Amino acid sequence: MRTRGIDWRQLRALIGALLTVDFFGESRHQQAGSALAAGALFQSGIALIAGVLLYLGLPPFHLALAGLTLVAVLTAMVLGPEAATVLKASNDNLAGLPVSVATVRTARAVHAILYIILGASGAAIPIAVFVGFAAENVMTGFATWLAAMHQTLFFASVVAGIHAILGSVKYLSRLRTLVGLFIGTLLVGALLFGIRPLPDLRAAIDGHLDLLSYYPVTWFAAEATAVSETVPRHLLLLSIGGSAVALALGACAAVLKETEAATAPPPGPIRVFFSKLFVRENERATFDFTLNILPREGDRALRVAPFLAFPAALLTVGAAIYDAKERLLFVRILLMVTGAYLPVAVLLLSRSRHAAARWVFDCAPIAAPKLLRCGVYKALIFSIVIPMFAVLELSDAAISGPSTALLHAPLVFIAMAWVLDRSVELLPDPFPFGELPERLAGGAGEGAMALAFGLTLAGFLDGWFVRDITSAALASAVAGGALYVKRRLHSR
Amino acid sequence: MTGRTTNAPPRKPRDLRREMLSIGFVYLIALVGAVALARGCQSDRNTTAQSRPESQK
Repeated sequence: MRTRGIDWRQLRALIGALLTVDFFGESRHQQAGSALAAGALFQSGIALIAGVLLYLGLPPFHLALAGLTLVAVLTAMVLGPEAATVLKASNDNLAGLPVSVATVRTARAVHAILYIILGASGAAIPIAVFVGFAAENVMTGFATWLAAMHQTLFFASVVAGIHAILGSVKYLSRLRTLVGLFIGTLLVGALLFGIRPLPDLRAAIDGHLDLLSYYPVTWFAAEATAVSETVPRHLLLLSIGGSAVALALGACAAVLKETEAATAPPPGPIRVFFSKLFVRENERATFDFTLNILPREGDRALRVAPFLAFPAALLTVGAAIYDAKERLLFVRILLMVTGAYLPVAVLLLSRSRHAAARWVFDCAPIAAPKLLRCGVYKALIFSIVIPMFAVLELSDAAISGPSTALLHAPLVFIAMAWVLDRSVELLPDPFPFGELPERLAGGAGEGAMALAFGLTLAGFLDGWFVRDITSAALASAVAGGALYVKRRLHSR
Repeated sequence: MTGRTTNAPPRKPRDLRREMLSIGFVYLIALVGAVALARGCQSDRNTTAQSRPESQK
């Protein structure tokens, strides 16, 4: 029977249980180290190196701004979507316990705070120490650490809130990938923008302070250094106002429930056209299944978007940095290397919150895994490669001009199709959405170096060899022909 | 009968307290490392500040 008030013993047990899931997931009995501890080690290593470089040349406020940007990027990389999902309403598995609602709510709130402290401190501690030393004030250092936690809570609440709002409206849930992509691009873009004028970063920040007041990390940098410096008051007000909005959004995440439409919307004309032209009759079931489930996997959108933010940010900043000649090769290599993110997207495809639904495949009369793989491959070409390719080519057309973009487009597409083909082939289990996300085993990193190297080489050759329409046609024919032959041989 | 069919010894569940200690140790190393680096580089920082052009100070 449920009681009123908070039972402290139950509260401790609940927090312990939630933290155990954070640290070990479902692998409590495995010998692997916990992801959080490994993440903290990685974060603090990077923050120590970058922090000392910034410390050498920047006054406290500027150092806090650059350092907190780094903290935001590193935290997003290590915590990923979990920082947002800890705030979400998922009390289903606690609802049957004989515990009061107040205890559950307090446990979830304390757990969210502990999780943010554990997940962000690895990067925040070194940066806070450097800011404290730069300001020659211990309190500034402590304030920087607090500001870093505040900032993490801010971003987690904003992401969770926007996702919950989009997820609760039937057809808007497809936009969730874009939100993650936008925030990722903003943070990585800011980091890269800071790396470019590193020797003159102080002057660059002073020169763009008006513009930077729209950038949330600036508010928290002001908050961090307000103890010892005079900082613009409007930045502090923005930090308070921004946090209030973020917390309101976070509250939405805790209240709103995701809509799960019973029937999928009818396929659009482009999908029907693609399906008729390229998908065989016996592959269509997997093709349609994959495309119908993909937009509903909110977790997947959160996980894939930060990876895609890196090339997007690199392209944006790269367009501004390099002069025309250098830029041509840079953009060629970058367009190719973007394909290296595909294996991650494919690996995550097999994970789903609704993994129990794999009985659909377990008892389906389709016996050949090859057919499953072909259906998945074509669904991914349609849902990931074509949109990604379109965005890249549009950016390329804006940076290098439409004719150059068109000349190189076929090779970029073929390279992506090659990578995707190999990634789908390497999937240990051809069933899409058949595993729980907690069971994310290693394997994404295998061959990643070789892949990145191969794609860089391909980009270099593309920039060097493809000069006119003849060379473009020749290179595309060779690469496309090789892929066609490989797929034919494999499908036998 | 225990119902176990393999000869593998049962693995002990991992201890949350131990894992918290190890993450705390990582933070401690980060703190000590950053303090040591900041102290070590203080003179370099002062030199950089002095050599900066007057307009940037």
